[in-house]
Amino acid sequence: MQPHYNTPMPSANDDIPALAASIRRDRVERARRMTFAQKFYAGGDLFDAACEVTKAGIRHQHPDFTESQVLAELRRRLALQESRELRNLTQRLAP
Amino acid sequence: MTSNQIVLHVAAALDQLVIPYMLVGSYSSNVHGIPRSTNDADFVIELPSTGVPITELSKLLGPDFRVDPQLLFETVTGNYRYIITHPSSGFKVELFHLSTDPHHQERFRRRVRRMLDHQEVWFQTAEDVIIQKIRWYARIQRAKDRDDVLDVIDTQSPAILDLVYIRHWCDQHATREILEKLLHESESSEAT
Repeated sequence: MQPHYNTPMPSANDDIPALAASIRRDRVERARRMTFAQKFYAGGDLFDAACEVTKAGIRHQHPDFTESQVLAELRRRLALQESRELRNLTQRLAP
Repeated sequence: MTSNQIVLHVAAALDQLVIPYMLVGSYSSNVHGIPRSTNDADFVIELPSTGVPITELSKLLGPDFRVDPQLLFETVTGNYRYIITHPSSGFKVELFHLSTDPHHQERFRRRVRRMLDHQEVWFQTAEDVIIQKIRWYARIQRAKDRDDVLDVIDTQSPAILDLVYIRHWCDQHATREILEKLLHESESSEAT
């Protein structure tokens, strides 16, 4: 779905909080216009798109990699991110 | 198979096994708020007295999925879960056992059914996303949970939400102050 920017952008003289508020209002308005199904699919689609970009980066970094090696590297990075998040959560939960 | 197809496939398998479930986590905050990327899907399931029939579930999901047969204790949430992975995409699905926590029981009773691609899928309600995310935020101060709550409040608007229900559970969880702050923040941003 193409984004629609209905909110007028603040001028260069406006401050950062006004710009942030404008972006926020625009995001909320766009979400309100989306159907339940569109919102359901958006989260997974964003993840799939991010994985494709990451895989393209891995291929660029390792031109000799086979597709299964690219996938293994993607999984390694996802696992790394997950373990980092888990570690942060565990630290926050620690008494 | 895309992430969304994986989620719908797991939901269909649970339906076939007559295991009551609902989608929670970011999939549920996405449908009630502002969608963001998610690398996993969390289901809450009502465990049959005989346990989850892992062999049947694996068979229904097919060879592209790996189902961990162990019911694992998750230290962060304090709940039991099964983990399903889809190795070729890196996407993960967690099946959390419905706990005896009074709010968890209540949100499961209030779950709502929605049609997606000619398939019915069960979700927790917007009110329960708010209650649960605030509960998490009070516990671990994770900005993502706070942002998800604001996204749901702003997108749904307080006029639509059952605030009596939300306030009741926030009182039970001693998180009412956080709720009121976020409601006020949402009102203020609407006014600007």
